[in-house]
Amino acid sequence: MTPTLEIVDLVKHFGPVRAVDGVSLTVGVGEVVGLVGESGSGKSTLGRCVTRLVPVTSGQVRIRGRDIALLSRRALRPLRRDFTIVFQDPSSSLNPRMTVGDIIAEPLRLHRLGSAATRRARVIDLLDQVGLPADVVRRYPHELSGGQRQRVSLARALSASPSLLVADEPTSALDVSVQASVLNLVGRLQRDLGFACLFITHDLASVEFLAQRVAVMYLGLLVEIADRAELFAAPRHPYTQALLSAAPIPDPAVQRARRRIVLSGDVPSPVDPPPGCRFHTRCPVAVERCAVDVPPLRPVGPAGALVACHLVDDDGTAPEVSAAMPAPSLGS
Amino acid sequence: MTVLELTTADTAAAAVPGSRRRALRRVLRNPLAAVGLVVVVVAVLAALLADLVAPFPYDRTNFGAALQPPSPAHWFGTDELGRDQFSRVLFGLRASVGVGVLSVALSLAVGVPLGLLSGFYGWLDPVISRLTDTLLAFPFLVLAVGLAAILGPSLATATIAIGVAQIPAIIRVTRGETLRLRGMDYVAAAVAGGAGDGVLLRRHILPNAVNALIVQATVNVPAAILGEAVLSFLGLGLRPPNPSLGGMLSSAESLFRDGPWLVVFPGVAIVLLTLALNLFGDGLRDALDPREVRR
Amino acid sequence: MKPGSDRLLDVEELTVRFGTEDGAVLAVDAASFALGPGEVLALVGESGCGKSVTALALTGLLPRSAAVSGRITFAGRNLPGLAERELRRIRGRDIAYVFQEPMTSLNPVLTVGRQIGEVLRRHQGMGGSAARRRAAELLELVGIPLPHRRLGEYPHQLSGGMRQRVMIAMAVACRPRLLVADEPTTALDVTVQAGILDVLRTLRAEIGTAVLLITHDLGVVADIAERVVVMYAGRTIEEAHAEALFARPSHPYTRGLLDAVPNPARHADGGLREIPGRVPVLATSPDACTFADRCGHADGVCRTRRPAFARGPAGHLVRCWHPLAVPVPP
Repeated sequence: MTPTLEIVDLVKHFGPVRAVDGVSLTVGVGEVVGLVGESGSGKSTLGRCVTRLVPVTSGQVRIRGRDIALLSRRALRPLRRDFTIVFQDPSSSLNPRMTVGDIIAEPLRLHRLGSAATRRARVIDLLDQVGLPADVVRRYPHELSGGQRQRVSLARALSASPSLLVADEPTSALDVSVQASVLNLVGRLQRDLGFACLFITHDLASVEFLAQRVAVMYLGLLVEIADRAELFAAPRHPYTQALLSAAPIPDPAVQRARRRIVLSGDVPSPVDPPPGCRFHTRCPVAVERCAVDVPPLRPVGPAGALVACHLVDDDGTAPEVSAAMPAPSLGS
Repeated sequence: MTVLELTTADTAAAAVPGSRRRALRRVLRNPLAAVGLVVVVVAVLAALLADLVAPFPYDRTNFGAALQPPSPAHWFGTDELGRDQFSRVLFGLRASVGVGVLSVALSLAVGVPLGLLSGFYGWLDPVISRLTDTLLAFPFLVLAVGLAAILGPSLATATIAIGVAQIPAIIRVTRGETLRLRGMDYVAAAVAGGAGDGVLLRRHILPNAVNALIVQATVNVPAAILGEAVLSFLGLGLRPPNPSLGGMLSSAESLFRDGPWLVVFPGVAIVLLTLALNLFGDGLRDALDPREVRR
Repeated sequence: MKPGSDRLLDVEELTVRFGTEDGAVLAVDAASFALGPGEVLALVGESGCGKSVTALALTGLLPRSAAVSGRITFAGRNLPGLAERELRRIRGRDIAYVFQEPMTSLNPVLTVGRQIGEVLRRHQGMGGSAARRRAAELLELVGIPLPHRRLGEYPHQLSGGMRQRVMIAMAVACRPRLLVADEPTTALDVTVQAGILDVLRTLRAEIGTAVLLITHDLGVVADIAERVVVMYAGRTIEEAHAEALFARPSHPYTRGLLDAVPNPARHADGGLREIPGRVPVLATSPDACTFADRCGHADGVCRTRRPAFARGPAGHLVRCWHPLAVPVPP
């Protein structure tokens, strides 16, 4: 079956900034892939490229087989009902001058789906699906809480029944107890409606909760793609190992017994990324070769995980990254 | 070192529609702005209802009662032709308010579309910026004199000259808001939902730029009223016998020693009206501007 | 030394009210807690629970629209009774603050060295070269490599994590006895956060600073806090040692928070627990449990009588009529 989303060698440069620098990733039909990275990794830019909110520099973005990477904005518009995006900030993602009903119905209206009456019915139906009462149709966004606004965003995104949803940190701006309900909702909608989802986040716990596969991004490149269970049980790339070890587990008994890898230094500038492996300046186990050769993302181990690291063997054996080893600082 | 946590909810609310009534309430809590609003409302009502309120027609001459100081019969006195100054101030107010509103409307009609285009399409920006620069470089009075030479001095000439002079400010405000709003997630969400540029500008950007434009307009209206006064004073505005506040000042200039009230009343009317508009505008800006953090 | 002065900070019945356009808001409702010297106490809660307001109220940093009452005893002195000049001396020297967003707290046109040096000159009367030497030591203490070079750099040349380290260096320049850290890692990536938490640990070990950590992040709490105070709608609702709080949460709200976080250590199947409803915004302190409307265990008592902050079945303080006795399954 053709995957819902196929990204091939995608590049996005903003002037000298190499935000996304050759990424390939596939999201199967009805699959949830978590895209994890820290600030500056380019994960949000990738999400905006996939939904063509920014022009793509080069590469392919195939949605159900059709490459939209370089289509003109005009040619793209009728295709947009098939893929959509939800943003992080509930305070800026809804037009403050439109009612909730108008906001949710807008994609339907723009794609001329249904009559006014069927659209109204569809809006009520969508509100019900995202767990909001029907009477919010006439409300304005400022009358809703952050969690309710994210539900409205989801309803808008799903109104035209897309086959791909890009979720860009949809819970990061919410309170803990509200995050839980939005995560549950995304999971339930995805199971019920069967859309494919690229779930972009910095929060590993929510990825483990929602995603079937996980891709880890660092400085414009993917460093590891693996099934969720495999990635969380045995992360292979040293960066993935560090990331997992740094995310605190909300249980002091567990957290205080953990071995933590503290990375030294900062993420280098995407204007002038390091040669070789981009992580080598902060990698506790880097060897000489890492500063010279670019490690390709290659299959390792029995389960078909992909890792871009010279030190990971073909059979999947990964280097043991020991804790808190100060890596040499190579200038600022 | 203080924390804005408690004010952010407030300021976010200031940018949304249900809060416009709230903003008005907030304006009225500011005593200066409330006084300003009352004066403006009274002046506008007086101007609109001049026909009913004025005790005499503005052009009724009475040579038997020329140059009389204020009295119960003629509250603001009479001029050298015996015309009732109170009535003339009321009608003059109508002309002033009319020019103020119409010229601002003209500048909005031209400036808003240009500002939207300039902010939305990067490639148009330099072109429109040159246009604004040119307009700004052109002295307002030279423009007015030129227009008066072509069209003849009239209220319409004054309105056009003032309106054109105000276009750059409107372009600048609209362009700034467009640039800011273009980056909002809801605009991106509309693009993702299949919106074309027209929908983006009409539904998502323009309605959210309105607050900033209202604020700009409250600055521009009094400026236009003063501009009209200047033009009429110079004889480039409304022609006699039709009264305008500036025109009345102009014709009273030579009579200042014999009838100082002829200068005082229209002068005070101009000052009061523009002051009131400015006070109200300041209050409105404070109430609507989310960046203004109040303690 | 009078009895009970083994406490560094003692907050009793702290109440903060704000006058807003929509009427009064009760931000902090008779909150009480204490902090020993060198202790790391986490004040935990969701937005609007009053935790940040509490932190600012300690040294009178709230805007004038706030009405503060209650006793705040720091090292034997009642802070609300002090003149602003006295408070200013305590702020920065004895009690230092670190906030969430380091960029807005640093002056963009002064070098890092100048800004740290200024603190040293103001509070400790150090001269130029001594201040510079000390500033470099401080940067080293907070884990900034090549400190001498960093002294000459401007805030915009530093990453977010580096800026937060600089903020911490400035905060601890005078070896404060209490560091109030308000969401110090919230704006940072996890790998950077781990480093900042390590810095806080180092400070405590090296200069014995007590830390009042304001956070919403239970992972951070689990990582670093010795004791935890949970706040909800302005009230302190549970207080316990960290291990006890996570193992045997007694307040239904605390339990709800723990269940709402995806926890890789406790594989939740069938979804995360949600807490229905929203945090109430209160004008006055109700004679009821403020969580009653969202609580599955609430009954008539909860809605009509105010629960006291008392020892619950798990042996720690909880403000609940029906505290939970069942521990969290491992």
